[in-house]
Amino acid sequence: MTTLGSAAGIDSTPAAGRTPRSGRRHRPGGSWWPYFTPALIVVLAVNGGPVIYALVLSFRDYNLARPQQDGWIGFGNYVELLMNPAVQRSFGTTLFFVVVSVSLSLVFGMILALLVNEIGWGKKIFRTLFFMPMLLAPAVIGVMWRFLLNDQAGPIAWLLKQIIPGISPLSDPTLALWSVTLVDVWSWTPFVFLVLLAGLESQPQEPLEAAQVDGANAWQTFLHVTLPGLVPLISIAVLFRVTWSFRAFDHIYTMTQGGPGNATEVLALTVYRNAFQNLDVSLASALSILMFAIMLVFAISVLRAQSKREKR
Amino acid sequence: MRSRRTARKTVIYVVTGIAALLYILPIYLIVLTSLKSRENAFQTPPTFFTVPTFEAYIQFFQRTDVLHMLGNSLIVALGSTALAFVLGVPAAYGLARFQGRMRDGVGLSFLASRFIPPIAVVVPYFLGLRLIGGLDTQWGLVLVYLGMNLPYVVWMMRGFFLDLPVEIEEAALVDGCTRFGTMVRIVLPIAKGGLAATAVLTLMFAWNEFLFALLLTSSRAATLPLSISAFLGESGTEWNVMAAAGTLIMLPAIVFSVFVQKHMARGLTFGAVK
Repeated sequence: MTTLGSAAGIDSTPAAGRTPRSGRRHRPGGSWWPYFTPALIVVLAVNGGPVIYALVLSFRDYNLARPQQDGWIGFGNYVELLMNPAVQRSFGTTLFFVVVSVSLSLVFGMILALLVNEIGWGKKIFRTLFFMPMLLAPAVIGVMWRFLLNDQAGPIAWLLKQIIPGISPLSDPTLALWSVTLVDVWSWTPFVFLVLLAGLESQPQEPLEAAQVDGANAWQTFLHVTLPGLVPLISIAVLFRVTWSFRAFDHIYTMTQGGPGNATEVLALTVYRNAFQNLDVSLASALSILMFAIMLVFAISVLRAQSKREKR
Repeated sequence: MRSRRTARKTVIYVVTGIAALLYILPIYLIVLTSLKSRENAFQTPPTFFTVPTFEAYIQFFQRTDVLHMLGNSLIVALGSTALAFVLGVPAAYGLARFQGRMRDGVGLSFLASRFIPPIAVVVPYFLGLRLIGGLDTQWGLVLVYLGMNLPYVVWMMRGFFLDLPVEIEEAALVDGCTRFGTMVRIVLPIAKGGLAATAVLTLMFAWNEFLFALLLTSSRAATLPLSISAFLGESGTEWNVMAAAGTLIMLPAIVFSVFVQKHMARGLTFGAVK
């Protein structure tokens, strides 16, 4: 069974409101509050607190190099961010990185899921192999690819050079951006694969058989029967993929550290550079808050669309 | 007809097999490089097979701080997971059964936490921990990872608990079991598959985490992933030692992905896929 949200509660936003609340149900055993209050307090303190602190910092002018000059400057940091060419560039780089990475991982994940779904004997082995990069530490993935793609002894760079002589995947700015993006695709395709395979395994057989009886070919069946059935899963996969690629830091830091130049500097690295190299924690906080806001708006709109579709 | 079907099957096996080999090639190359000698690792053209030597592993372990980092990694991963479970499992159970007006609000505070980009809170964590003396300490890192793992445990386990039939619990309550007793003796044993999958993922989050460890620790509380930042220098990198470090850090992930597949899709989508 592959159902979305509902029981697991992804869609239990107030808008969805699918559980009828018939007042307070009296059951023996007393209040539920003691069960979740401690966790709630910890989450508000450890997650909510820092976000509010970042928000406060973003309206101040706090630089760790000159902490005495601290003061309120309203939206000054936000204005500076939007005018700053390096930040604009970073937004562009992030957009490229997220869009290319998410779309390619969707395409590859879909193809792999369709293939493995057709396999009888040995399915588990293939599923394990395609799943493997999933749980690896992104920082390790970065160093690992830094080695595989390096000009001197990198085995994969060497293989590529046999096809395209003189190629240098990490030193050329354009290729470096493609490299960090494709590594992201490599490491997240297993996620899309796993989710879509779960969807394929649980799709009802009758419509597929009906399509075959009607003489539809494999491509038509996929386009008109299989794909529409997977839409809810695809949208969840997109939500998570965008969330993760948008915050990507580890593998880019260990692979290129944002370079060469700033060719691979995505937003998370821009925040890092401003906070821990320029020590301008206020400007970094403003950018962080922008990132969080973008993520929240995106997540809420995907979940809204999802619950609307489920109601229909 | 029959032979066409066999042909199709063969094609699918061949295509999938080639894709799988290409997919795993990078991991193979790293493990292979970790078993090479230093000269061999620098050889061009690179060799794709080798007579294994454990030189790189021995060198990696001879660095004084590796065992220390391994210890930190274990303590921080286990500590943050244990705390997240102690606080999170009852919370998840409460949220799954609670019917009051605040239910969605409470649930959403946990869910929204998962959309905070880690880089967005690293400055506040840094300044806050510096204030209370928590920089470069194990407990500081446990606290930060708790913030990451607790909402996850709550939301995941809530989904598993919602799937369980309430009738058994009601029967237990009628028979005089306390509510807490019902949770411990009846609900948790039924949900043990979900608990295991959730524990694997929280352990892996903490084990793999790099950003917070990089910026909030320096030497005392440094965790294993930081050992690879030593290999970020421009030239003269000992790639075989780097590969050995990478292989050791990857090992639990590889073991888990072979043995714990059940509930993984669900775990990774925060419960959205069953």
